[in-house]
Amino acid sequence: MGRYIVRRLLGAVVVVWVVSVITFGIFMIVPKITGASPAYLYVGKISTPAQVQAVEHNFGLDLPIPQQYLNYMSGIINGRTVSDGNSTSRCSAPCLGYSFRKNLAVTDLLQSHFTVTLGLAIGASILWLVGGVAVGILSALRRGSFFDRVAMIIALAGVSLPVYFTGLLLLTVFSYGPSWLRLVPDPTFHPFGQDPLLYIKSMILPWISLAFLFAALYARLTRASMLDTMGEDYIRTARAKGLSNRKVISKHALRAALTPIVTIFGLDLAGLLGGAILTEKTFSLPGLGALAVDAIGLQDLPVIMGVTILGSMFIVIANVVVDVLYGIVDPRVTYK
Amino acid sequence: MSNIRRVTRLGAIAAVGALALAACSSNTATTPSTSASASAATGYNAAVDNIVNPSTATGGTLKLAAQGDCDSWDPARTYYAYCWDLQRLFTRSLMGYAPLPGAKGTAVVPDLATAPGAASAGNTVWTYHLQAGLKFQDGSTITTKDIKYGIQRLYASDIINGGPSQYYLCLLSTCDASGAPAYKGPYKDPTGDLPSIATPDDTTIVFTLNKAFGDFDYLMTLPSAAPVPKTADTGAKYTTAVVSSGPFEFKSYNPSTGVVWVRNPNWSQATDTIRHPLVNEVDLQFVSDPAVSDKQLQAGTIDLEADGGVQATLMAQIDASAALKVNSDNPTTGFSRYLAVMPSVIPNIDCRKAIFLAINKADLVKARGGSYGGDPATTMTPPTIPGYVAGYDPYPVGADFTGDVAGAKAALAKCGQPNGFSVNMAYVNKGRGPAVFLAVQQALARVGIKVVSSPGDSATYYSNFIGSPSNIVAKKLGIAVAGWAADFPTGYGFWESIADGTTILPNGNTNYPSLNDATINGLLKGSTSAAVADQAGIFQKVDHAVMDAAVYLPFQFDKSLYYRNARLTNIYLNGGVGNYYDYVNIGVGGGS
Repeated sequence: MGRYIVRRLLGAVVVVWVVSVITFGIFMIVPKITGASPAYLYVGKISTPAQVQAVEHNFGLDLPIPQQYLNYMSGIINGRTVSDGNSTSRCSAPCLGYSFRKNLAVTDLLQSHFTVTLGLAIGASILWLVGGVAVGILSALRRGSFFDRVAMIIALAGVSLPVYFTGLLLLTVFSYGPSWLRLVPDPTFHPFGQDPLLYIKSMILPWISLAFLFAALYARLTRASMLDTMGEDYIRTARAKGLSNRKVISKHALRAALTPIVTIFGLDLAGLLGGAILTEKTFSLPGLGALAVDAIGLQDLPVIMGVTILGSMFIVIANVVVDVLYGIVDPRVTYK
Repeated sequence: MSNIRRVTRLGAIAAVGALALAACSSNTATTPSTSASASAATGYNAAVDNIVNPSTATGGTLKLAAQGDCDSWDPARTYYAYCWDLQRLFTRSLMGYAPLPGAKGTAVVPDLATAPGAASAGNTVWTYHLQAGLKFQDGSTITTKDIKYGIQRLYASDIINGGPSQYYLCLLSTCDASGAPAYKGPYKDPTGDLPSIATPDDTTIVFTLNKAFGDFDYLMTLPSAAPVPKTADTGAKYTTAVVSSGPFEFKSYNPSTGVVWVRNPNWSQATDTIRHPLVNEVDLQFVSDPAVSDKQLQAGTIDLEADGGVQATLMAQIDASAALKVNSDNPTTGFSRYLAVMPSVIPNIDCRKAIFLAINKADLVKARGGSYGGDPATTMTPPTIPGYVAGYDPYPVGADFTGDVAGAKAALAKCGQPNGFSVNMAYVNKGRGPAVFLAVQQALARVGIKVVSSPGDSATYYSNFIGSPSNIVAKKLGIAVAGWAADFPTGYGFWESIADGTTILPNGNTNYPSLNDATINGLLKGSTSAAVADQAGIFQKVDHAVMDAAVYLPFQFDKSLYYRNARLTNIYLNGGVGNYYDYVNIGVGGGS
């Protein structure tokens, strides 16, 4: 198993490296082709060629692209010194460059925004895992019942409704609705460190709206997976051996039915950690997704690159973790 | 002539001073509320020309929202209009705008200075004296050296950039043909000085200009002319550590979530006739989805949207509800939206006139948000600038502004292209740019003019796409969408950047059609030393000459629909800060 994990991790490093090359290529070569130097973003609306050249020099944008890439990668591994032409500051590893628009190191920006996204993803994932899987199991066990029908209709609605619709609906009812319904009158984001209670209050609606979408998906997936598993020969054998219904479900059916759930959960969580763009924008949460959207709007290339590389890293790591978890969840899986 | 100009200014200042004194007589806390209570009004558009809910009650927190962070909090680097207004919270300059509603707020009055600048006969030497008792937030005294240093920073354009430095650089230092000044700023220049600004003592500052500049007092109102203590200057990072000279100071700043300002204990009301702060705290929250901030506004959890008007949904609700409309204002913003029609690509004036007559301004206004977003424009000068004459319309396009198709066809025949021609049109490839392009394309197609799309990247659109005359010729950009508002509300402030043929640059050019007309250049030059009484007449002539040249096709004067929380007191739109609410003087009735 150890060799398998090492092999997968090495593969993951190669994938992230390829992503970094492609990302860097897109964001650095395209401006060269179009003539829109990133320095224009720093200089502002009214600029002279001399200003642009000076800024390009300050930020090393006048170096050959391979050299810029080497500097970038060296910054990720060793850190680097960033200069604005007047003062220099140390950008510690992993240094992902410097935001032209915000005058901040990209790593610092990612750190501050990641904590928000992490909180959103963890809270929502707990809700959707508990809610979605439980409803899916119950629906499968009571197939065709009133509960099953209602649960699947709600799940269909959940899958169909986009987050920005659900989010705005929740805000309209619980933040701006009639006073007796205003359970979250101030949806403004408050950091956990500032006031944990206010943090939870400000995150309840985002958690619910994000979890609603995923819970619906997971309920349908769990139900289908459970129904498949319950029809397997080994379940019939377990029943024939006289095991109780609870043991059949928990020891045999559930473990096998959860394998696809673990796969999809790992990838969903990793995708969210790279930025839950719609949820963050709808609730004005300063997470990675909102940072990426703002950076795209402002054409802040170093930030866009940083978010892209970080997001891809989460996906790759999640794939490795999911593969390892297969063996733990499903005894039929062996590592080679 | 400059004396007459100054006398008129002093008259305005005396009026403002009298109002302030009237306020002082009734209350120790001088606020615009008491001074202008006679003009207090309520209802739709009440804050356009009046102070709504006058009050002297202090305390509470003013809650603002914006879609995102300002371009910079460094006074030298910010250029967003609403950010200039927010700068009044913590930045003072030698001069400022009167704390009065509407056009009255465009009166320029002393701020840090004791009086308006004393100008030499040719308006080339300007002298100011500082008031006594001025302090930064750390308690250190504000001196003229701090003001000089703040302006010196503008010359370090590779570090301190993004602001309106173009007004100062070549006025106070010699520039080469590309517009690069000889002085390189305090960080790099070995001489370390800008001799055109003299500070003979800590309270006197003398500016010696390279040419006459009658609006120099207005330049001194801009945040870019604010004092910066040399010891606190952190270069590009100063945006995160601005030292306050105003009534508020930064308590916290997070580029992702917002800003909190609290009262600056070292600011003294006795030194400030412009700011009469009532609240203890101002919170600016970044709400990325404007639909959400509209909801917050309606729910009363925020007081104002600081960076612009409401979105379409709330706009429709306001339109349909008298109860909402009573707390709304729909002022002009000072922006003229226009098409630059390039003579370098379409040299025949009759061909250009055909475009002017075929345009459908009604559709363009719709494309930019409808009637609450602006009115059709018939001339370049916006209503907020001296020289504007209501009804002047040299290229009438019908009472409904949908275009004069017959007139356009006649102009085409006159220019020798009776079946029309093909022209490339530049526009920004996001926001309202594509919608404006489609409206122009459809309108001109009616007379056979084929408009071909040439979208530009927003990052470089103004600097080296339409801001480069050679690129305009190379890419044959016959039409370009643009907008312009004066950085200070004078005729020269509006026209100099877009019509002065002597300031055309190879890149970053703002005179997009490269208009270089001797008559216009002469009028603009003459205006810098003309009397105030003559200004409107001069700029009316400039407006007519520019329109006659058929290179600027104005189609909209922008407006914004604002909604204000009913609890707000002393609220008015100030013409000096682009008809935004004067945030520094707003109260919340002392409540929480």
